[in-house]
Amino acid sequence: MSKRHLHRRPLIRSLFGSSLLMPGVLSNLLAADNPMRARQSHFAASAKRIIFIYATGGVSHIDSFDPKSTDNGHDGSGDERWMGSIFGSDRNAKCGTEVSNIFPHLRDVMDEICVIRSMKASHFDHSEATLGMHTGSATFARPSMGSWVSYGLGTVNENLPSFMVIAPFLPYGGTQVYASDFLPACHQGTRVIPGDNPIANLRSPELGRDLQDLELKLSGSMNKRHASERPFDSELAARIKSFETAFEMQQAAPEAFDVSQEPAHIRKLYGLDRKVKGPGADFAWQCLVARRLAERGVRFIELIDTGSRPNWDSHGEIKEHADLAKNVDQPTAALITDLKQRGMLDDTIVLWATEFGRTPTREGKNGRGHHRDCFSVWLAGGGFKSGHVHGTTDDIGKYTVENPVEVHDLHATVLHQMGIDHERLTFRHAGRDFRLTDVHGRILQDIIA
Amino acid sequence: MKKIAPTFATMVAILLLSLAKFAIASEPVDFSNDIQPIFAKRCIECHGPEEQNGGMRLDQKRTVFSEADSGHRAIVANNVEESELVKRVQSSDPDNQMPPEGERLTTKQLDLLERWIAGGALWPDKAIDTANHSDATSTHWSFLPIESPNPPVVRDIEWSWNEIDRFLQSKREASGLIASDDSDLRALIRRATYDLTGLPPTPDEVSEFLIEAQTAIGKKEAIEKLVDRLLSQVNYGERWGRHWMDWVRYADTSGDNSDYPIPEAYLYRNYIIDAFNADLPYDRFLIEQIAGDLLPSESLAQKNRQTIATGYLAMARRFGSLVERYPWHLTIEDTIDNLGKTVLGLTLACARCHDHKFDPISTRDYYGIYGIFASTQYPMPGLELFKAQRDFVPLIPSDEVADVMQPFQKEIDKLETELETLLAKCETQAIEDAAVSSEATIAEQRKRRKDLDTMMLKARKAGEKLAEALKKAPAIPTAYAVQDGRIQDARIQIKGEPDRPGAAVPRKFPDVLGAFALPEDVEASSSGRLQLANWIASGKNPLTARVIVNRVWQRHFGVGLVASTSDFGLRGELPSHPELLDWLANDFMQNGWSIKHLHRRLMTSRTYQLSSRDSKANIAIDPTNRLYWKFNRLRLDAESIRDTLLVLGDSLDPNPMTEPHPFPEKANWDFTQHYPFKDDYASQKRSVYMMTKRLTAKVYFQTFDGPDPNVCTSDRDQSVTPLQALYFVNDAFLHDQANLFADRVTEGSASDQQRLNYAFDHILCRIPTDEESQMMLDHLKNVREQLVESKHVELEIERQAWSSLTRSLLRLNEFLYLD
Repeated sequence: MSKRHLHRRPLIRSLFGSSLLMPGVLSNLLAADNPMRARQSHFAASAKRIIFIYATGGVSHIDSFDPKSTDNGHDGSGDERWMGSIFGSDRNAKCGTEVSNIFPHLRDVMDEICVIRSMKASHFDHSEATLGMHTGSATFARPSMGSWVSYGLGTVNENLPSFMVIAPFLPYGGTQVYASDFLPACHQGTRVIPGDNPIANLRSPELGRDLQDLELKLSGSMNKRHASERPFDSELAARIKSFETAFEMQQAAPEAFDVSQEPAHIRKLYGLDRKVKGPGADFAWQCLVARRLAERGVRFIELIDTGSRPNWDSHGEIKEHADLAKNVDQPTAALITDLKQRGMLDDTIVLWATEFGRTPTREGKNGRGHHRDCFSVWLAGGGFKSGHVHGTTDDIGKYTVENPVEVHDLHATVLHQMGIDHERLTFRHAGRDFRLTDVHGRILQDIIA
Repeated sequence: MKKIAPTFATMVAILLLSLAKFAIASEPVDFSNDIQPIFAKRCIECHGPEEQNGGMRLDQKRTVFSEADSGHRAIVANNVEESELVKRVQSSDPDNQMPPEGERLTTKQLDLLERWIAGGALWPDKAIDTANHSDATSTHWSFLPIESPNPPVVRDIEWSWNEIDRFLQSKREASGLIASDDSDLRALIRRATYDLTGLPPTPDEVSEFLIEAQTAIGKKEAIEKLVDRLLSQVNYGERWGRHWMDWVRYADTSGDNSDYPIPEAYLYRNYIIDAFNADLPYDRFLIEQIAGDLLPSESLAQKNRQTIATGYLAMARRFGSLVERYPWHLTIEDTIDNLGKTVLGLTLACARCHDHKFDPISTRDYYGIYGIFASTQYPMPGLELFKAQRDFVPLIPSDEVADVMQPFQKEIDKLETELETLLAKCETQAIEDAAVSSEATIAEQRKRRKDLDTMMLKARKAGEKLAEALKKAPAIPTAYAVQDGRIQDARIQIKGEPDRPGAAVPRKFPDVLGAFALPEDVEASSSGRLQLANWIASGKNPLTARVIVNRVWQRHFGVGLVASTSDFGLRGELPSHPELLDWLANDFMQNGWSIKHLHRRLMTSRTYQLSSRDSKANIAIDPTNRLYWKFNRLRLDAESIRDTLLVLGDSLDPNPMTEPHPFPEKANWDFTQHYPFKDDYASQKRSVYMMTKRLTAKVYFQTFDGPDPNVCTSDRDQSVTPLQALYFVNDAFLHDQANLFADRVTEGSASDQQRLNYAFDHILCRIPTDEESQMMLDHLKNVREQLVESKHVELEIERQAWSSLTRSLLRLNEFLYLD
């Protein structure tokens, strides 16, 4: 680019930066009032960030992480409608955790994973259970887990939002799934849509950066004059700062999303260049970007594999699960391998969840219905046990037997690993101190390493 | 298998107990020595002064023998079998057993309890009762009658313009605060115009106001005139109607998991806007929204208007997707929750599952109101497995409805009866199943569940048939409104679960607000909504006037006299100026509950027109401005920003929207939770008229702290985020409007300076200083050079240069904030 461009950049930065603008005052104001500033956790944290992978529609536990089949001696207790795992299953060689054959890559990394097989869902219907898994409430609007974490811990990189949701499609429950509700709006999830323009307004509609620089210089100096006559208003200062951040974000965000910078072996690991289509086709990109965002200090990253349809809701034909698994299995496993090899898995929680399981009995010809009495989720990294299975279900995969886990327990435990006491992370709203876990939640000590 | 063991153990215990009874039956039981210690140790924590779970407490004689929420009596003297307490302490069902946790009572304790009851449950009067919980809470300030205090004496008599000022000035003086200077007149007209209309003043309006205030009629009168003019504009209702829409969580969709559209919702929206413009007295406004259908009317037009008003109740959120398990109790909860917060400043819905932990609202109070709405017929907007509208209220005379519907009515009636019969059966069965679930074996439970599933499936099929029939019937004009339904008192739902009905509660108003009951003739013939509406809108109700006066204050001044505008309960904030709040509430009621009168009062105070400038001395004393020594700088809200951009681009369609949104044909509705309704409709009208969905919020409104259409949005956040900055830098709509404005700038005037003045005048309500002009001219020069360098054609260069300047001005805090 032109020489002018080169020297204009630093000028803009210094105009907006705290060094020239009301030295001292601005940075003090910003430090005190900035709702996004990084905060101390309640106690020493095992993990600094979360990658939450959400599989939409209700993944069949029997056909994924809690296989039951006649091969393994399960007989269905004489119920002729019982249908065991139709894909077959095998154990991870090291830890022995059994996984369905449609998740071969994830099976290979099971020794890094802690599976919970005894989850109980908060509702039997998609939207409610999806909201329950995200907000702790199946009915009324409440802040999302990511918003709570952002509110509790703030962010270490203000050039990117603290809670980002990479979702090619909207899940059940719509935008409520990542809403901040009564928490300050800066803690709401920012949706990222795979493609040319992942975040709204990241790119200028027509102008070159040169013109934008000129404009920001003008409004910056006008704003500076305005603020200097109102030196006690931290909000004005914060807004001036926000333009600086936005300016940086235009660089930082596309850079974070630009997976072409990754070396060939990493792209291959995630399966980025596979020819896949259908629901979940973007998932390799989502997983790789998640790792890049995690590296850049984003506190809570959520990946939603498919939208409200088509997805894992295999009422008519459970074989649909195979195609869906094919799109997500390799990238998900790659994410764990990649985090591990970078030394990031220790302080990153990877949480994989869905809204409920599917019935062990046949629905229709060859499908499965919604099942709330038991289902599986899993966790990796973040101080959780690896190669571990928590809780059991009965022989046919219908009810939990040992260590039943409620959604609130899962939330409480995830917060705990982030150094947050779920009973102390509260927000006063409408006369009550609200929390993610409402009046419930117990820490699952058994799954913590 | 699991269940049998404890039951067996209990049986053994009972057997032993009976044997013991024979042996020691004659020994007397002493209440203070034998019984009270058991209560104190094992029961009082949850059934005492702190909590009265299940509407029952064991620490005072006065209430211990009365009916609990479950509909049973804990203790029936001389009757062990009827005493629920005995059943519960013997039960091993986790849902029923008492105490719910810890060791079971000992055999000896059980024996003492039984013998005490069998012997007449003597409770000596001298036994000490614990202090009464509700007495303490009903002395809370907001439950006391509204006083009529006189404005206090102030030292600086000159300063105040009206009574409001004197209340505020008195507190400032006491705290050593000196009010800021008066605001600059341009800032003032900008503030007042956005405040009442959500739009910027035109340059002509600004200059006229300046002339009047500075010369012609003087400042005070100029402000009065300004306020009157703004209140008379249609824009006023669009602005303040939007505030009401925030509080009543207005939306154009129903919020169930498929988010069914409600094409008729706009009628209620327009009712709100018209009501504000007509200055409908607030008490009347409330009564119409709660019970407009039950009010007398002189014409069809009036009847329809009042019917449409009940759209407020119809607007309650819908949940679920199944007609056979439709959770009406959640929709009613949402109704009560909003009515409580928005109108009464009370979190009533907390009492759905248990007595309110903090406020004096019992579960009985909750179900007393619940019965009124359970007796109300809500319209059904359609749902995944019932894809048609039902029970909307016709807006044409009933004989015309009958004529149009005649060929279809018989079939619909038949199918409706079928469905209702099946639903009633399901309900009875579900309650019975829940009741026996603790006793039944797993096999029995399984069979019951299967039977119920079969029945429910039948009901669903019947629903689908009815929905199909309804879809075939011709469309008649209807409103999304309510009417009286099957009249009934509600039964308490134990722990909020509808399958576990407890005691029936007569419809009533909460104890702390007067405990009014329905007159006998009304009780049998009406839901009681009109009575409820009258109780709420009564001048004797200590909350209603205070709450609305405070809400209006909050939208004018940024922070309410009670900062928690939706919570006047014990956990809410205390008022900063309780006397002023009462004075305003009184003045409001005495002036016919006129909202416009209230605006005039507030806006013609000197405090309203204070400058927003800080003073170091004041900040040291009152950093958050709780004593209103300056005007709180306010950020333009989402609607004001968008509407202003449309005004600048000269692309605003100023006409009200009097037609429904262009939703798809009802006959084609096939929304499911997999494929929910999620259309958007472009519009050049004011933002208040944009179609609002409950499930999928618009990114723009999320970015700029728009209202949450699922709950009462008490006030708008003023967040500062980089995403907002990105909007101002890159948004396509903003760029379009800036281009259009640039065309206006360049068309009208010749010189750069004239153009600059024009741009400043329209965006910032002032002309630039010389220094600023120079900065702007430099900018234009730089931009032009740059554009020439990148080979733009000349005409395009001028447009781009001015568009660039416009965008820069739109990024100014001076634009975005009201000083």
